Amino acid sequence: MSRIDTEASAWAARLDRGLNVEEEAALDTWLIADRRHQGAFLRQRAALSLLDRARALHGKPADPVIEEVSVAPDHAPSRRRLLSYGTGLAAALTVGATWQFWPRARRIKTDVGEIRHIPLEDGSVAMVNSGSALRIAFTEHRRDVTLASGEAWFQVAKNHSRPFTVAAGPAVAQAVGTAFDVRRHADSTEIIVTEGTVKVWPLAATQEAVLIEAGHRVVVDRYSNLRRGLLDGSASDQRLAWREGRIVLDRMKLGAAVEEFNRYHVEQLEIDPSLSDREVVGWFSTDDINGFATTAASLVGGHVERDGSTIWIKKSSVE
Amino acid sequence: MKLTSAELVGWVGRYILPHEARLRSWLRSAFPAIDVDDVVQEAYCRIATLERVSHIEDPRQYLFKTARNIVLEQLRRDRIVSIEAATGLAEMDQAADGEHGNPERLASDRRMLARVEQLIAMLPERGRQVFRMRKIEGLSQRDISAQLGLSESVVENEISRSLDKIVRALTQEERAELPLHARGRRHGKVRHRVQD
Repeated sequence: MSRIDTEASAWAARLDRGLNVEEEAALDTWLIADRRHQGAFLRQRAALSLLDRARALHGKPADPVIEEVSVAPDHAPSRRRLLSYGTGLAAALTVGATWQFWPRARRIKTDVGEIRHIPLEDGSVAMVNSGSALRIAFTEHRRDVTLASGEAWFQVAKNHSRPFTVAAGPAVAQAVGTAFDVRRHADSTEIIVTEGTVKVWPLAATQEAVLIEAGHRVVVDRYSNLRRGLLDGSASDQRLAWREGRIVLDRMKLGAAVEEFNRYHVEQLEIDPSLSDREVVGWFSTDDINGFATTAASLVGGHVERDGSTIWIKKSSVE
Repeated sequence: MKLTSAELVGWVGRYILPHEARLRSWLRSAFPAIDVDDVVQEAYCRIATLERVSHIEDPRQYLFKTARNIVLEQLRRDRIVSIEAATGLAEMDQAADGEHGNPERLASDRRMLARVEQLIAMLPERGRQVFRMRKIEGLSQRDISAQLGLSESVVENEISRSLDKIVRALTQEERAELPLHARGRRHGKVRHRVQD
């Protein structure tokens, strides 16, 4: 860029001085020689014209910048900003509506699109994903959590004499001081261990408990079948990016990606079935359904159409 | 070849150039693998072909969108899309809208002029003198050469060299104060937080 810029500056300076006929022809030749020249020339001339306006500033009070500040309209912060900065506030405001204090049990419910960070009284932390419901019952000797629906990640405070147990559909997971994620799928429960070791067994207890270490996951289906697998660091980060309000798609099929997004929204995405096997990549904000739709459409050569509360990603006839 | 109209030149100087630094730092952070110079250069090429600018309500956004399209075309052409790149696309709108209604934006025009003053002040002695006479006192290059006893080509060279320096400084990336709160998240990356 540098050489072209320098040449463009030279031409801008010549133009500023006034061109003779020969120079006009030479400038023409230069401009045609490379299509980038015209853009660079425009840029340098624009800068020179901007400098003309420095004259207007000359002799004026030293700091004219500040006086205009108050003129600006005071815009409300964006929705995204509210969502990201206001999560704590929103949680505080809805305490009455969504928490019920029972003698020792506490119910937590998140709305669609809501992700909550919930400190528990024993020093543990629960991050509760969109559209989830859980019940927390702590006693002197036990810490019991029931995940009725959705997904939650737990960072468990160490206490050997009070095991921390999460019952989630067909699976039960128990830990003393670890971090793990539990997600209810339609007919199975998935547990990802991010730290330490977690003991997992099927609720029906037809099998012995298995120990799952950090970096592994286990899926327990409704027939109590238990499948375990390795989840490398980046896959686990991607899978748990929701805790930061993010969705990470790494060569995920568009159909699956859309389902993932729909978890967080009342508005729903639909796709042309012929696009559902196309792979998409990206790192999105969970609340940015429109940004996802636009980008995904661009990546698969489609376009976005709205129909009421449905956002369609349709195939474009001409690619 | 038709010379770009003075109107377009003035418009670019006033409404596009002041946002180039932000655009550059945005591109750099959103698309680490992309050649920022290339994209910026191509954006100016496209703007140079504009017949009129009256339909452009928000030049800053127009610049960002133009750059976004260029990046998208490159990505589709290369058929390799990194996660970072796709993310940048999703966040581009936000970056372009980032300062909507921000007082800073209204003031930026004047701030830019103040900046230009500073940049002129930083030029080497002779360049500064020539530039001041040309741009602040409004003398022609010929008058300047007569007053300073320099040849016209020396004056022209000073203008050219100084312009080069000024544009470079003016459009240098601002690394701090990106309008994106998302950037903070990107720094940490989920990966580093999982185990903490």
